[in-house]
Amino acid sequence: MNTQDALAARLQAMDELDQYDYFIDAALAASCPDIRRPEYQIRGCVSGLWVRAQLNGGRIEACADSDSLLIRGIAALICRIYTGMTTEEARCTPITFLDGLDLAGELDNTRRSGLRHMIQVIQSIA
Amino acid sequence: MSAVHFRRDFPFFQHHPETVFLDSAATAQKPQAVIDALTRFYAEDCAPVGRSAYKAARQADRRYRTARQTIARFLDADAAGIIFTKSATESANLLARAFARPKLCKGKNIVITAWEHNSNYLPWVEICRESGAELRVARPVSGPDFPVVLDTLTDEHTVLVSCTAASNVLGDTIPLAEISALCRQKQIPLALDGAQYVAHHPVDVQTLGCDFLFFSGHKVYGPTGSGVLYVRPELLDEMAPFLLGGGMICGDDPECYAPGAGRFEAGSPDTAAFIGLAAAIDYLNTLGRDAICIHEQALARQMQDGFRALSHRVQLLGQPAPDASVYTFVCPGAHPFDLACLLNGHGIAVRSGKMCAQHLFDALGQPLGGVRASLACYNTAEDLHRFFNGLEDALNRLQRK
Repeated sequence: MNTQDALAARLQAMDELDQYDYFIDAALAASCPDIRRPEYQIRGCVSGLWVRAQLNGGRIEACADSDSLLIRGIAALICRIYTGMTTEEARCTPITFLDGLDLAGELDNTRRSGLRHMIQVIQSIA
Repeated sequence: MSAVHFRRDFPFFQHHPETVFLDSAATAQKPQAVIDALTRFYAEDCAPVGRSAYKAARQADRRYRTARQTIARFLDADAAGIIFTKSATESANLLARAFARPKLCKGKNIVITAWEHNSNYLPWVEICRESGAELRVARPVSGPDFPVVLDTLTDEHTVLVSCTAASNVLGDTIPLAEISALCRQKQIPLALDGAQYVAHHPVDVQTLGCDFLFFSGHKVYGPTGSGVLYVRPELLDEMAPFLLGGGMICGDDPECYAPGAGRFEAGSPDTAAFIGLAAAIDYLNTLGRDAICIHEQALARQMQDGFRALSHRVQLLGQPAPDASVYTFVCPGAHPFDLACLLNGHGIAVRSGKMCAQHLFDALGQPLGGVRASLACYNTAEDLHRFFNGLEDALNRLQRK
């Protein structure tokens, strides 16, 4: 089981409030200083969302921030998945750990377009 | 009649017994009487209205006419001035296009307020842009300021004042009698957006003194797809048709538009929706508007006491009236989206964001929006108890950093 599958399995085993706690913990553990600048802002997200992705020795380093703790936590988990991958590996790695969660529907409605754009930014870093 | 009695008439709560529904300002749940009326129309009475002579069509015609009379009585209005639309939004657009647009040109103005929902904002932005007229936006700090700020902005070139009767964000009382008196004194037509008003207050357009009033059926326990624009009948002749098509001409002459409201209802109407809306009004009348008001006032007191008793710092936006049905709040360190998600985890349905009133949140200095809890007749004291417990827990989780 890869990291993302393990994360999905863990989340699926939790009730909704525990899932939120998990995302909040991930948000509080994440650090991405000095990122709230226009050049890092992701459009299409109702809450503010910023992402910075760069290559270091051919491997992705990504971090993100958001006004919303839940979105920041989810974005941090996405960054954790992609950090250390090559761009090619990232392009072959869709984000699936949110699939099936109750929150996924809400993210589809309002925010996931922002998260989708964030994923594209990370995958297309060259 | 008790809150439990109100609640048991709404099948939604049989399907979602654990849900605390505090999003009625977005859409209200439907009583069984409305669902029955819709089902009965489609199962037993389905026929076109205003077009055919056979028995079923005549029956549908009768029900449709009765619905218009019921809705007119609900507003204490002349049925001749009741135009059926699909929503409050369509009503506002119809008003803007049919009444105001032909009168607008450079030098004229429309006056609205910063408290408007986008449905009573964007139509005016657009027709003023098209015509070169000026859109003046009054910026009251609180409800009592409305007459003064409207007085400042209106003049002999004002074509219309269009103003919310009750905000979809703030629970403040808006002094409608004073606004109406001001408009009468200055001889300016007054339109009221009643979308958040009519479910919670008895309405009498004569006493309100408005020339236009619009609302959506689905916020007053009726079906989606039903909206109403009341027009003071003498003004109907000043309005040009907005939509053109079947059912809005005199007899067989396509060059002659039907008199009165009929010329504004081109196309086959959503007959079932208006029969359903009339059923919702009959239902409210059966419960008793006074009984509903007394129950909602008790909920409002509990709501305001509950906010005061919270252990966390929570800022209620505006100055909610003693009978407010809408409570929008913000909490330092807690994003509205996060709060709404965590409340959902407790089975509590609220709205988060800017509630289609971005300009109001800008004026309030709240760029992240807020969380709105809104009341309806089916809410109970237990609902609000659970809401405040859920809110305390949500804030504990979000503010543990």
